[in-house]
Amino acid sequence: MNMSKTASTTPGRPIRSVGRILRFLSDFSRDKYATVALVVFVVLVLSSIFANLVAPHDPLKLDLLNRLAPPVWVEGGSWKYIFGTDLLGRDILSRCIYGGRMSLGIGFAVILIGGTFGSLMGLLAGYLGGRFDAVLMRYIDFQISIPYFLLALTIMAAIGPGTKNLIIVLSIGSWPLFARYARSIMMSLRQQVFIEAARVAGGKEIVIMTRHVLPNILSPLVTLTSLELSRIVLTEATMSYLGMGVRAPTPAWGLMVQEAHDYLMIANWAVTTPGVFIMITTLSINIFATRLRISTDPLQRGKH
Amino acid sequence: MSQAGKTKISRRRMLKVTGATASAAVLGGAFSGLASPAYAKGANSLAIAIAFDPPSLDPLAIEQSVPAQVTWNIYEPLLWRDKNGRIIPWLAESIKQTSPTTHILKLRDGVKFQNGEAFNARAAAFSINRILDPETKSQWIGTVNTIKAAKAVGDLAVEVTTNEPDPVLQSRLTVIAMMAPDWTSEVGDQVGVQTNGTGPYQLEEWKRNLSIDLQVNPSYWGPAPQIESLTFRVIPEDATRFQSLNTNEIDLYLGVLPDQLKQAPKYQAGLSQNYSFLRLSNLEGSSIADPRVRQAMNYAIDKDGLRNALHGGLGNNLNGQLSVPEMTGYNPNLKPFPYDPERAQDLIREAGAQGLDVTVEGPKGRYTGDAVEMQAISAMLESVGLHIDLVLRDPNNWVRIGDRNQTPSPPEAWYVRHTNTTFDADRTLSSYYSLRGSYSSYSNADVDRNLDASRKEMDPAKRLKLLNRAYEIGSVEDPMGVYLFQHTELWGMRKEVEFTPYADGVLHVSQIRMNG
Amino acid sequence: MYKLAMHRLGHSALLIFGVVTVIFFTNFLLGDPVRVMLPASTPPEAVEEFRRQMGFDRPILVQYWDFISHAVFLDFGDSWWQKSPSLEIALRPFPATLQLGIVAVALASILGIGIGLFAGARPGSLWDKLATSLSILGVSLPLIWFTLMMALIFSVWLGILPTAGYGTAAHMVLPVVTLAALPLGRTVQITRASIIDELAKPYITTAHSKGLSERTIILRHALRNALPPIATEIGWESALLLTGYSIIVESVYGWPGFGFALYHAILTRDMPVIIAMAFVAAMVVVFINVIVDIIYVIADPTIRKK
Repeated sequence: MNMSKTASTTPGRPIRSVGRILRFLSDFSRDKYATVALVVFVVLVLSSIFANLVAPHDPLKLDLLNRLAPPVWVEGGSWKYIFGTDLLGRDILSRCIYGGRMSLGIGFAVILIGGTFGSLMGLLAGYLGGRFDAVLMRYIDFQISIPYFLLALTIMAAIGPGTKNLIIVLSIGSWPLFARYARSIMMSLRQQVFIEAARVAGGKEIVIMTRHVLPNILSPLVTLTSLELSRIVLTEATMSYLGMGVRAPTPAWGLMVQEAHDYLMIANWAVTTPGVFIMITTLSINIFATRLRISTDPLQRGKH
Repeated sequence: MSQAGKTKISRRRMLKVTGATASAAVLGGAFSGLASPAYAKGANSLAIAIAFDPPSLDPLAIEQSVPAQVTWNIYEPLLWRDKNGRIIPWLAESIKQTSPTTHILKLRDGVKFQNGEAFNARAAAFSINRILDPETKSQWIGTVNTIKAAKAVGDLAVEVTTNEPDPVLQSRLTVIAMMAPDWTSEVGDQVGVQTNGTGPYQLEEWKRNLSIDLQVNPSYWGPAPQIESLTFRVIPEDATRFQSLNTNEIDLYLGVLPDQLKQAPKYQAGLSQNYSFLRLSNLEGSSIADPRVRQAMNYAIDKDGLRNALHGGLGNNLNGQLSVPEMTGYNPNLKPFPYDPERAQDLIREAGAQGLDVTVEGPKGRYTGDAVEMQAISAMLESVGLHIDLVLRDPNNWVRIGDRNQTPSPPEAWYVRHTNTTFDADRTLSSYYSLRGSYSSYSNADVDRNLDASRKEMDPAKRLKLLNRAYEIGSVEDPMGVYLFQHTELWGMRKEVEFTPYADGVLHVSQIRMNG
Repeated sequence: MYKLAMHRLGHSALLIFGVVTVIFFTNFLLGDPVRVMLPASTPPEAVEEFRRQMGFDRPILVQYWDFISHAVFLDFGDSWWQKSPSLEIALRPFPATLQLGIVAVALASILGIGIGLFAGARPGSLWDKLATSLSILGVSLPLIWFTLMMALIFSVWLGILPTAGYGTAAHMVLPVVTLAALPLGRTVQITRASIIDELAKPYITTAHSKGLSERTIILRHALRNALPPIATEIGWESALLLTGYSIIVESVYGWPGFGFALYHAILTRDMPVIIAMAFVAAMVVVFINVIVDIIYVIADPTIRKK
């Protein structure tokens, strides 16, 4: 949650023309860390989307005779199951690929629901101001001051685990951040001269919003979104691990770690592999977001 | 605190460079000298890991296996069971039936509670009446509610009255712990926090969520145990308990996984009275009301394969009934369903049930390895042509969904492990083979007739016949469930520990020996 | 100042009330508590009898009123699982978590501010790159996995630390290190960003021109002005650690603290305890907010005049 605080310390700066966007993109592509992180993340997303084509096995298919088979580089491992098998003889690699579909899917769903709703509310509050703004901000301050984890856990315990419930509960925890952030950007933009200029020049409100406002909030919003995404992936894993998230037999990373926990001393690959998948995901997102912030923030860019 | 703060700051420069993992190594190294004495113990002491902190140590209120590991070393019943499950006299020396509904027990002389209060007929009658008292809110009530009351009829003689003739009164008496009447009223609501039994150990200190320390009872009436001090350590995670055993931090615990046996220093497997099955509904509206589908589901399960893979080949396949040979009422003529997927497919075709949607409900986290077993079973049912929708629930919702009174229609298939420590078929049949039990989704008039008759039948041979017939109907004619396994209880222990589990699952620490 | 304090007090009361109410309603409307408390084969008459004894057959608003009118006197009812007052059960494990939380947050703050300062003072240097990488690693760690791996490496393979328990310094190492990793990463990020922001401000140039040493400028001026966001961050981390975030670490390492008790309360759906724990958590948040406010006032004297 507080990653957004990091992000919100750098309000958006106007990038007015297509040319500047292009310049930014070329800047960004010269940053090899960011590019690698982005490529890794895109590969993860693509393999999740096309899991049925990429995964070598059916993630639910049992092979009781080959259960707890070690990965290929350990003695006794085979190329059939590259990362080994779990306690029911299911292929760990395939489960991790499908697990990505679940974890990233939940992440994007939460961003989509929480992010869209939150951003809209925030933009509206910033644009309208007045009582709506005051009430909304009071509520958001209130919700943000509570560590949401305990609340989410108890609510999940009451309504029962499941993917849909998890998405709802995580979205409720996520939207205020987007709202507060979108509002702060709206507020700062309202005072920017160029909007005033556009208005004086007789621009319609909607045109002003789409042509001038939106491009300026896009880049910081991507930063916030990525940091939120990484946080949601971690929270989802924790909730699923505690049995308050995705339900078995659906493959999900946190669930895989939990199922294999008891086998840590016998078959540590069953714990390590999903753990590494989570780690690669969050690392790639975080590296990307950090570098993006650096390249869009002139203050920091100068120093690199 | 200030001392610790200072050293931390002085180490700061060095630590600053390193990551979290590396700093763990540095701190770890610094503390490694402290690590070994932290869990060094005396020679005649024993540490047992338990999964959670008991809610209460009131043996008459709580029926749960974890608190029972503690309380049965402090409290004792009138009658108990030996290693093989046979009922033996304990605090009572004998039991005599004086009318169809009354029994007289003669008590052992000279037994005292740990606070010095005498154990006598008054205490015995008090304890039995206390477990029946609604105020106690005893979780045992379903097991003991055939008992009407108890009263003292002499200093060492107590009379127990039942509502109806009760063929299994003796086994009910094995679960009623003896408590001291004066002490109980004295401590009031502290009765679950303090203890006062007649048993070999007494409570020394209860560190909440951490450990329960017991010391030997110096005035115990029986032979003095070898283990003098005993600690139950609360370690919630299975994996951590196993690690603690391997690092010698604990000596013994229940619940080692079959896959872990290779790495366990030593283990003992004891057959438990837990029988797993997939409860199948034959009620109106159930999609598997046709008995052929339910038979097919039984033929579809490769019980040996599953048991070898998931249970290390331990335990037994159930013989087409929710019972085992040691149990009164067991039908020796029934055989386990063989693994025969072709026959299963034929039966499904005959019944016109190819591709039938069947919802299978089961718990996740209620039993060791439950979710895994469920997933394997579903996959096997799928392979004979059914379409299985597996729903794994958290234990609480799983329990709720299995109860006919709380769900408009019970699940078609519901996984559960049935426990019967009364060693009598009555409890099993009335829980699952007849709508008498709220956790049943099975109704068969023939079964009900036999069960009703058995309850009034005092001739053991005739009663056995009736119970046998009830099991037979629920086996192939009209299957009550997919019969799976009698499970084992796996105790992991250090090499030095000599311990054999009892058939009824009671942990008698006084019987444990330590070598060297 | 007085008005501000009253405002904060009202906000705090509302926060505590809100949290407790939300949890009460979600749990009572969406779940049945009775079933959890009895073994599966209990006859229905006994279950209904039990429900009546516990008072769960009454309308929800009546139960809520009953609950809230007792709760104002800090009576949250008895635990369903253990027959003792639930607030006592919620508070009992708290000192153990406080111990863990304080050490972990102290470790993360001291290291985090130190590393963040160094990195922020020389952006782009080798130090900075190292610190940034470290912080990204910290915030990307999946706690569930990290906890298990630490136990495997240090207890099982190396055998230098105990796997579970409480009471000695050795027992504390693994839980503290695992819990400190994430806050450390975030503290480094925040400190670094705030210092970079501060050092770009005009007053720093003025200070330079006055001939103040770099050390003085960074420690006396930049750090002082960067303190509020860092205090907010550390406050937040403390709140998180003390309100259940330690659930996995405590249950894996058998640390008898708040997270451990919460895990158990959730597994057994012990509602009075869950609500009492939420109340304790809300109190902790309020308390930490007060401390953060005080730090703000110290760092920025203009607030004091308001």
